[in-house]
This record gives sequence, structure tokens and C-alpha cells, in this order.
Amino acid sequence: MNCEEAETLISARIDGELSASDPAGVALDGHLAECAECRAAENAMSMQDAALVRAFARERRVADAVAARAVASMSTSPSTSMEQRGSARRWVIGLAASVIAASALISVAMVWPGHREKTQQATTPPATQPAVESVAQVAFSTGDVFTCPSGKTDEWQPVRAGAAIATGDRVRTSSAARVELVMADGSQVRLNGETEATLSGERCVELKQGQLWSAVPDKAQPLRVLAVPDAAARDEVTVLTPPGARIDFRCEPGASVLTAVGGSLKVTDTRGAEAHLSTGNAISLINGLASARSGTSDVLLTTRWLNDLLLLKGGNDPEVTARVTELLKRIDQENPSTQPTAGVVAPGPVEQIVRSQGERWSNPLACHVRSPESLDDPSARVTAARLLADLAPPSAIADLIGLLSDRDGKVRFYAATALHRLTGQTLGRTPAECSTDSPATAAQTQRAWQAWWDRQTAGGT
Amino acid sequence: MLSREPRARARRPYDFFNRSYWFRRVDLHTSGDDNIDLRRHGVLESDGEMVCRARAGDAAAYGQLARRWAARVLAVCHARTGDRHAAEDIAQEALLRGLRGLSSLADPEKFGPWVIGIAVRTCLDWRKSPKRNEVSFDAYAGADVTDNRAAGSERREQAERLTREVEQLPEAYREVLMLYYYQRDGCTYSDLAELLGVSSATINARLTKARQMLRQRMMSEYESQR
Repeated sequence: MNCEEAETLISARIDGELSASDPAGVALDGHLAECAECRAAENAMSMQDAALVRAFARERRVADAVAARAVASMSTSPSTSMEQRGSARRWVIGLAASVIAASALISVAMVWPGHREKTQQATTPPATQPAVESVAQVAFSTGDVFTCPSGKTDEWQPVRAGAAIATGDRVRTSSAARVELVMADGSQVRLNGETEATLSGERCVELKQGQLWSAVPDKAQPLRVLAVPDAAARDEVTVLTPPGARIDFRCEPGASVLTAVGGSLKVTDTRGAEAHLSTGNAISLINGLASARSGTSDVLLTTRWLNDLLLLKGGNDPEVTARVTELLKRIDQENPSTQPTAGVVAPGPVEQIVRSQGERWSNPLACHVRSPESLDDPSARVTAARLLADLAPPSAIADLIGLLSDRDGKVRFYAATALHRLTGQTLGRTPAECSTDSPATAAQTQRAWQAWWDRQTAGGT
Repeated sequence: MLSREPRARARRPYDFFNRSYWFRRVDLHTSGDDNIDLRRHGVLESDGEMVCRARAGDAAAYGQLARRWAARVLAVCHARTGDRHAAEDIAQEALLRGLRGLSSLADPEKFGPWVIGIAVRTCLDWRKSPKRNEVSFDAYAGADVTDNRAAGSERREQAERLTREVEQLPEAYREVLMLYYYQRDGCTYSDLAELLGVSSATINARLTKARQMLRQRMMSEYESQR
């Protein structure tokens, strides 16, 4: 074997295409034992692979957003062209660079979501009008979610992800259900269990009962949320979610609580009095009348019900990534000790939230540990590994093996602990030993585990 | 040595435990069943099955197909245009065209190569378009808000530098490298071979060469800065 062939095989091994028992792998090991240049190349290629994984982490997250936008576009006008969006983005940047204010203003108008929809509506043939009437699409749902068409009283039909919601449609969730609706401009409305809301227009949602969360993108038009728990009593409350803001609104007959999850917003009570809230503020509304501010709210706990929806999006979703980072930060504050321990140490309320949902957090936690951004906060990274040690299911074994050569000894400890829990094996290195191993020994341990795992999985064929 | 036959990875019982599990997990979770037991779903639903569901009116199947293929479509668009921001728009357009044109897909199991073909054609349209000569997003220093926020991070800068170097590789090499790293988890040589219509050995050779060229470029840059 010459060095050129060896380099091709090293590349294949790094990519997981060469099993330990493969004769070519054995030959490669023989070559590496004799060739210092190829050993150095192997080391450099491993480092390069890790750097490329980090470098493309952002692109992987962007891909999820591209998929969501493509699906959302399906329910809107067919004339949403690439050229229009591409030039729109460039116009926005042109605005930042340009000093020609008049032409820049026209450019902004061209990309303003409301304007775009009007343009599409005007150019769309009458035959496609029903598609244009849909104001939102079910992006994610869990549990039983139903819609009732506008004008009907009790014709509830089950809906699933991808369904279009038309103007005037009512949406209802069962007790353990959650649903996320996405509008054409990217605004999101999420409903908790036992909630009923009506999409009464492009920018208006009426909340009859239950709990709603909404977010409006930076450059979209504001979204109006009307809380109408008792139409007869006329205790209507209006909440305006401005661009860039997020709200959580729990509406019950007689009493409602509004929380500003992000940004500033305005609420108008039934007598017309206005109150302004900023991030973290919450206000109670009794019979439609705004009471004194109830002070700050623990946004993470108030919106814990969103976790069920976020967990559907996969560990690379930007919002899930941010959520995991926030959860880990809070867990660290609850339990600042980061010493590796095999047992669970009195979990605080935030950690209990994660543990109560068990292995469903395993994927986001594993993604966090693997992400380059997590290296900025080693403590949170160790916390993620500690939770993985308890929560990871057997399907995470391959990922856990990958963590056995992590640069952080505590991460290696928890990876080895998880592997021991899942397989009953230590392969000669206890978790405590793994945590103090040199990089070379850690790599050796990882290879031993990988070879063992290859044998186990090969047995299934 | 490397297998030249495409692996029936989704069909093998042990395959549930491999690293592409996470990829499948997302698909399964979007079914709307809150209490889904993933272990009962050890077999990945194929593209063909999803296409059939979509054609039968199951709206969720569209989202699953889009999420499954978005990274690879975006990778091809990025590689063919060399402009990551234009690539986002083109990839979205290609996915949309693919989802809307499912009825014209002859073999549902070939959704992936088919939608990649749409992406390639959409890139060609973009190349021919006079609009591509408009001032690019990248031309304005500091215009990328997301990247700017982490401007102080050395690691972020290194990643940016590496991505720029990848964009400078010859197209055949940057395409295979981007396809591989846009969806690192669960991506195999046989997957890429099927997409690009070449053998697994060719994928191996191209990835090796791409990495080698990238190392040389990075080394040259390092030397020039000394």
C-alpha cells in the first residue's frame, strides 16, 4: 500500500465507511504503524473533519428553515418566485447601503409581506382563489387537533401537519394536544391543549379559551390577538404583537394572564385602557380589566408547554438550540456543581421539566454537545452530557461512542456512564478512568467501542 | 474495501441504532402522535412511501419530504452558485417545484435524485438570469447580521474562513464536500453515489482530493499570513 492509497482509506475511515474488521482497514493500520507521514496526515484529516462539521453547522440549521419556508409557500400563491424573493433580499441590503432615500422606500414597500400578498392576490387567476384564502398552515401538531370551517357551528374535522387554515376557521385542541400554525409572512401562532381560537383575518386571531403563544418576524405586520372568553359579557381584550415580539396569553373565563415573552407589546382592556409590557412582564386581566402589573414572570416556566412542539422540530432547529441553551443555563444555576457523579442530585424545577420528558430531549442534548457553539460554555456542555447519561436511549449509542474522545474529561465520563447503562459493558475502561485518560488513550477507547459496536450491529444482519 | 453496492440501510433491523437514527426521528415525530414509540418504528419510511402518502392527500408527508431533502438540495445549490444566500432562495424554489410536481414523478423512490435534478436546473436558470449580476448580499461588509453578532468569536471566524475556502474549490469537489457536510449525520458514500450518479469509490476519491486541496489552500493562506 502506498501513501496515496492510505490517504483514501483514512478518508473513508474518518467518514465511518471502513469498519474495524475490514481487511483494507487492517492493511491501513499496518501502513500507519510504519509511516509517520501518514499518521500525521490522519491526525490532520481528523482535525479538518471536526472543523468542517463546525463550519457547516449553520448551514444545517438554515436547511431546516428552507424546508419550512418551502412547505409554507405551498399553501400560498403559486406566484412566489425565486426572483422576487432573491431581489427582495438584495433590495433590503441595498437599502442599508444606499443614500437614495426615495428609491429605497419603494424597495422596502416591494418586500413588505403585506404588499407582496396583495400583489399576488391581484395577479392570481380567480380559479386559484381558494388557495389564497388560506391564512395559515399547520406546521407541527401533537395530539388531537380539529378545525371547524367558517360559518359552520359544529363540523369539527381532525387536521394534521400541512393542513391549510382558511379565514374564519376555528381551531381546537384536545387536552394534551399542541399545534403550531405558520402564516405566509412567517408569523407563528401556537396553541396549548384545551384551546380554541379563530383565525378571523390575515392578522387577527380570536382566542376563546386556553393558551396561545405568538411570534411576529421583524419585518412583518403586527398580529392582533383578541381574547373573547365570554362574548355575551363583552369583556374583550386586545393584544397587539408588534414585529419582533412574542407573547404568551392564557385566557380563562373571568381571568387571563398575558406575558411578554420577548420584545415590547401593548394590551388594551375592555374599557379601552392601555398597558405596555416589556420582556418578562406579565399582567392579569380580571373580567377584561387590566389589573396592576404582576411583575416579572419566569418565561421559561410559563412557556414550558411549548417544549412538546419544539421537540418535534429536531435538535438542529435554531429555536430548539436556543431553548436547550437556556434550559442548560438555568439547570446550571439550579445546581452549580459540575463534578461528575453517577447519580442524580436533587434536580431543580427546570431540570425536572427536561427529565419529565425523558429521552425526547436526548437528540437536542446530543446536538448541543456536538455543536461548536457549546464549546463557549463548558459547564452547560457537561450538564447536557450529564442529562444524556440518564436519558439517552439505545439509539444514541453511536453518538455516545463519538463523545468518548471528547476533549472534556467530564463529557467522556458521562458518555461512558451512559454506554455502561445501555450496554452493561465498560470494555476495560470505567467511566472514572475515561475521564482522566490522555487524548491518545481516549481515542483508543473510542476505537475499541466502535469495533465492539460494529460487531454487535453486524450480528443483526 | 468499499462496497460499490448501495446499502439497504433503512431495511436492516440493526440499522435503527446507526447514526442516521436522529434523522429518522424527526420524520417520525412529525406524524403528530405524541406518544409514538420509536422502537416500534425501527424501519425508516422510504421516500416512495412518503410520496405516495403525499399524492393521496396526506399533507404532513410534504413537510417530511422537504425536511429530509432540504440539506442536500441546499448543498447542491450552494456548490453550484458559490453564493450561500442565493442558494437559500434557489433551494426553497427547487423544493417547492418538487413538492408541487410530485404527480409528474415517475418513480416515487427516486424523489431524492429527482429533486436534486430540479435544484441543478434551477441553479442553471439562476446562472442565466441577469439578476444574478445584482450586487450580492455578501458584497456589503457587515451586512450579515447573524454572522456579525458573533464577530468577536475566533471560532466563528475560522469557520467562515473554512467555508469560503470550500467555496473556492473546483465545483465537482466542493459539491461532494458540501453534500457530505450539510448532512453529516446519516450520510453515506452510497447515498452520495446514487445522487451524483457515480460509484462509492469515486465519492471516496473526490472527498479525499477535496480535503487534500482544502488543506493545501489553508496552508497557503497560513503561510501568506506569516
